[in-house]
Amino acid sequence: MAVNQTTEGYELPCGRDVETVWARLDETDAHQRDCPHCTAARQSLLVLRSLTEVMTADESAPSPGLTGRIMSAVRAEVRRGDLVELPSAEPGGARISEAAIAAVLRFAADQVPGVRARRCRIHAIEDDPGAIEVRMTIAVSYRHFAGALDRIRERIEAAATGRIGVRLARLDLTVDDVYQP
Amino acid sequence: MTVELTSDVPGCEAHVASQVIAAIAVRAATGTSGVIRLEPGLVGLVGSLVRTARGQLTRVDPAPTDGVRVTGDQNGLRIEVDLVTSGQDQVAAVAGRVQRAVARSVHDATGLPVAEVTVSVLDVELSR
Amino acid sequence: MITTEADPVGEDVLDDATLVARARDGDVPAYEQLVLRYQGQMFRLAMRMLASRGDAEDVVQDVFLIVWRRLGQLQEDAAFVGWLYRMTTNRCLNVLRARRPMADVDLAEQVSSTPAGQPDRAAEVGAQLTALTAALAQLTAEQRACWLLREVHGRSYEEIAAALDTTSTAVRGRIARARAQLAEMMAPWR
Repeated sequence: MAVNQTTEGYELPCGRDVETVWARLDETDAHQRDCPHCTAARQSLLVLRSLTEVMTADESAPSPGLTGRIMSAVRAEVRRGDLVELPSAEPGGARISEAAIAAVLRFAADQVPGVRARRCRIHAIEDDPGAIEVRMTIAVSYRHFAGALDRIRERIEAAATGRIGVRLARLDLTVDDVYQP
Repeated sequence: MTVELTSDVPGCEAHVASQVIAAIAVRAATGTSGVIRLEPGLVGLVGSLVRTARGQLTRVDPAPTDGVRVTGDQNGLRIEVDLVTSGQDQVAAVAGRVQRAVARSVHDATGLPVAEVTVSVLDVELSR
Repeated sequence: MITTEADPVGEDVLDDATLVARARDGDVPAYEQLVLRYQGQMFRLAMRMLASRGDAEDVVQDVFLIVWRRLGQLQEDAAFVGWLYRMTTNRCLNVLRARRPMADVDLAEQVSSTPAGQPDRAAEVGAQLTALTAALAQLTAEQRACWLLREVHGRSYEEIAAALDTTSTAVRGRIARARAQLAEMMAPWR
């Protein structure tokens, strides 16, 4: 087999390339049987492969606090601009982030059998405080497709008023995936 | 910031630091039904975020008043609270409860008028 | 787009594409699922690049925060994992460059201290891996990155080339050189 110039591996004294020995690790040929360089290289590569498998299977974990530190930093990044006014009788007012609304509405959609909510964009409506516009993308299973959209609309409407306290002015649903069964 | 408390005793002045007002607000808010926790998202990063020698971001003084900011003066306090609510209660209802509880607790403890309490819900925890 | 897959056993086991789509909308719990799913792999890559658990954790923490901030820039939800690997690799290379100039030679001797002043336990658990870890430390940072990404993490040549801002051919060359050097260092263990 011709030596592949692009691999630029090390050439053994016999002229063979280490990558060639690697590629043929589980076979052998006449040259290799007689060549001490190739035999030595092969033995070393077998050790390397075995240790690589051990390393690949290793599941050393970071310290238990790492996830918590990451998520604290993530939560601190919610932006002020994404707040939606809630109806409130008390001075000072109340607001909820668009992300929190989206989480509640996605959860509601997920409760419909065979439905998985994906993207969910929320927009407050400028001249209509306490009302929102929702654009949601979902995946639905074949088995549950019939009637799913109506059920989802009902659940989302109910969640908007009952779970949050805002009025659903408009809902755009897009089914971008269907799955078995 | 400190706020002067009214006092009936001549020659006696009292002040309360805003961190104390914040701590009272924190206690009232976290004790409100439907509130999971306060969340230092937008306000109340007491101390600043600094980089340690290893380049990690860490809060210099992680005081319990994270999630609350107190402004205003003795004519009226303005308190902002950031929190996470439970999915079991209607968010707007919980927010109203927090506004009332914070205003009442701070007024009862300090005698100061609370002009407004603004609640921002940053997350809703759906598993609880 | 049509996918064929069975309903997951638990309602909670969501595929990456769904989680990434939700995280892009600001769904924090969805992002936490992604962190839990991939922090181990990124940590192990960083640990073997940097030979320090502490530095590896710092890199992983930074990567997941920066990725969160820039989720809006992600072109395709499916590209998320590749993006994580690229970012982790580059931050590790930056850390290594910022260390003393002879860093690659000294890496094997570098002791990373915990706050108590005690040296870290070996970057790998078990005597078997110590030999391989020590050998990896002798490679250049770029060789080590290429070899780890290909041989341990199974990434494609194209993806590794994109991560290191080079060509697939150059990547193959680095891996070949790395493999030859590692094999040479494995000789005493035959």
